[in-house]
Amino acid sequence: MNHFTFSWGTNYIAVRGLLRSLGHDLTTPPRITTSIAERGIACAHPFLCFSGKLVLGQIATQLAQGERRLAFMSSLGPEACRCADTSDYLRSLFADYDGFSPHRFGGGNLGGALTNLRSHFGPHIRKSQCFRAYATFIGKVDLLHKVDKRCTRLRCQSSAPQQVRALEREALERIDRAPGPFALWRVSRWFDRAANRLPLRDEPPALRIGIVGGEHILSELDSIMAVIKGIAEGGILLDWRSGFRMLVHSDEKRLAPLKTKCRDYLHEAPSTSEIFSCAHALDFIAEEYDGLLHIYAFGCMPQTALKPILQRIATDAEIPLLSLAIGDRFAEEGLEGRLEAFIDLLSARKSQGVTP
Amino acid sequence: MNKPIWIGIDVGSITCKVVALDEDEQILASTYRRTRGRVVDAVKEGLAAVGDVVSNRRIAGCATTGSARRFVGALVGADVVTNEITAHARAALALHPNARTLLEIGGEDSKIVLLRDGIPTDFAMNAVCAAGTGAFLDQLAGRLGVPVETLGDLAGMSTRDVAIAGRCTVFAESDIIFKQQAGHRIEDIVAGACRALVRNYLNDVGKGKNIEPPVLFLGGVAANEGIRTAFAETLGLPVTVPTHHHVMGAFGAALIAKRRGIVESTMRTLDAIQTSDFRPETFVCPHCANACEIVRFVENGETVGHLGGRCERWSAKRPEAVPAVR
Repeated sequence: MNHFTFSWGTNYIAVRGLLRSLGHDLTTPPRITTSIAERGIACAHPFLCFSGKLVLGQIATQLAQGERRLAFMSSLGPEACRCADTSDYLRSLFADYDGFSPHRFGGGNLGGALTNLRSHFGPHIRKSQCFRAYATFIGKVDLLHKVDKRCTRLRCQSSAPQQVRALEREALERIDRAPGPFALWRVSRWFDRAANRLPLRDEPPALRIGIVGGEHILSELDSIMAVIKGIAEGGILLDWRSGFRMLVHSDEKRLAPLKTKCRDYLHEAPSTSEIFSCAHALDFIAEEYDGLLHIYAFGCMPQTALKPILQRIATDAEIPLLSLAIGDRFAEEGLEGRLEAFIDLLSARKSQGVTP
Repeated sequence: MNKPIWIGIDVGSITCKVVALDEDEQILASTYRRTRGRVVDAVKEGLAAVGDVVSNRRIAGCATTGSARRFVGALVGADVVTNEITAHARAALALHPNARTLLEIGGEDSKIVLLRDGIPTDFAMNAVCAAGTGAFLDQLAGRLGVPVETLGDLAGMSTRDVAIAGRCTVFAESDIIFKQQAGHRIEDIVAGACRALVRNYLNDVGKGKNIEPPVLFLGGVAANEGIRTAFAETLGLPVTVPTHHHVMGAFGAALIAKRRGIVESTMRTLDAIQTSDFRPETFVCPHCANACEIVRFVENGETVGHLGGRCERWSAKRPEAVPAVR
């Protein structure tokens, strides 16, 4: 049985891995283009966050092409925004499409995940199948994150950025083809060896900038991250630790030490997204990065709430912070101007010996 | 040998500013004009006006800034293309080395830059709304049927506080209509709108920023005495409007070009720019699903460069892919 999904970056590869483990498949979602974004803006409520609008644009486009079975995975843990469980919202929004069936995979633990899978595929799903499907899914999410992060660093560190781009493309293809955890382990080893062979620049990065913010917009490979990666190829180290991976590793056990780290700034039931962003900002400061870049989707409530908190963290640490709300992925002129100015600012500080 | 000059060009959403700078970093000539949607014509007119004053000088360097900086850089063959925040900071520090806060309001952008010990240490720009910018004043002037240049004088004649909603230009217009119907004087409405713009600015770009004196107010909107007064009253600080407040971006760009130590400028001659039929065309790149809109520069019937796109295919930064614009 074929399903379709929306993309937050490369997360669809992991969702496809889960479905293939169960004998099903997934259509590759269309890349987000102007027309898809406009379609999402047209069908969404104006106050929905911009990431949500991109998602709706992809869903509407694929429904118009005849797809009906939507499979998606947004988060396995507590989340503050509607992206966490949008099935009812989607059913209401696309009620005109006969047979539209949205299903969010998840469950929090193996028991919950098994119940969830059986509700969608039927009672014949065995516990071992469920375990393998989720092991494949999480393995792919982790490896996609590792590739994304390493390649972004390599864009700055390597003297051959074209080879980095080629390596990233091939790694994504291999992860997509890997049928299970053992194959993923082999892909991981191949990737490490290939990445270690890339030629490196002689000089250290001119600047180190830590990126925090909305996981969904940060996962958008074709929009803001294309601009970010272009800057990295100019010799500036851009590092981010958020991403889709965080959302599937967000159980209370993993969140507890992060909450402790953020206790001076986050007090009352913060969302997963806020905890990760805050903790990562504090990590970047501890590692003496030159600046913090906060990127979030316009209308994203957790990240909007986080903005003044990050500002306080930056003020306390005397580290420059630039917050960018992405409200239209095609307004790249303003985005680039702000980033250029931020880099000029950090360079001026560094050249005068001003450090955080 | 003719004495050298450095040219700075700042083209934003509404206006085009051109400055010529001498060896002592003094402004020899400057122009400020509305683009009215015709960027090429505005740049040609601006350069012609400056060229009349400095015709006996040698152009030693040129830099462009503003939201049209890349396009204009291709048009004139600029040596440096820089962002407007850096350009404004450079200009402000050249005139007022002790400045600690820059407030700048342009046509559709507004920005705040914090300076400490002679370097910019923090900045912010408006995000997704133009309510705290010159566009607000343009709409106000249009609604009241008065030239935008007279708003400052009108605000100065206000005798009574009138509260105007400033969170959105559309809601502000509704509010102004209501205040007119309620019989408020136009001078009081204009002063109320100036305070609304300042409130919006400080709640958006100024939020959380440590605004310390000396405070400089830059940009074309700084000519409006009503806005300057509203800033001073709201902040409780003196707000200085520098002499060249309206061309500070172009001044800063020219300074950056001068201090770059350019050996031989790539800028085209002023005559070549004036006689050029340089024009932009757009097309959608067919090579992938991104469908990027690409700007193609055409001159004398030939493609001389490209701008735009999310990959390196059309990037003007890669000379092997794109012939240099000369």
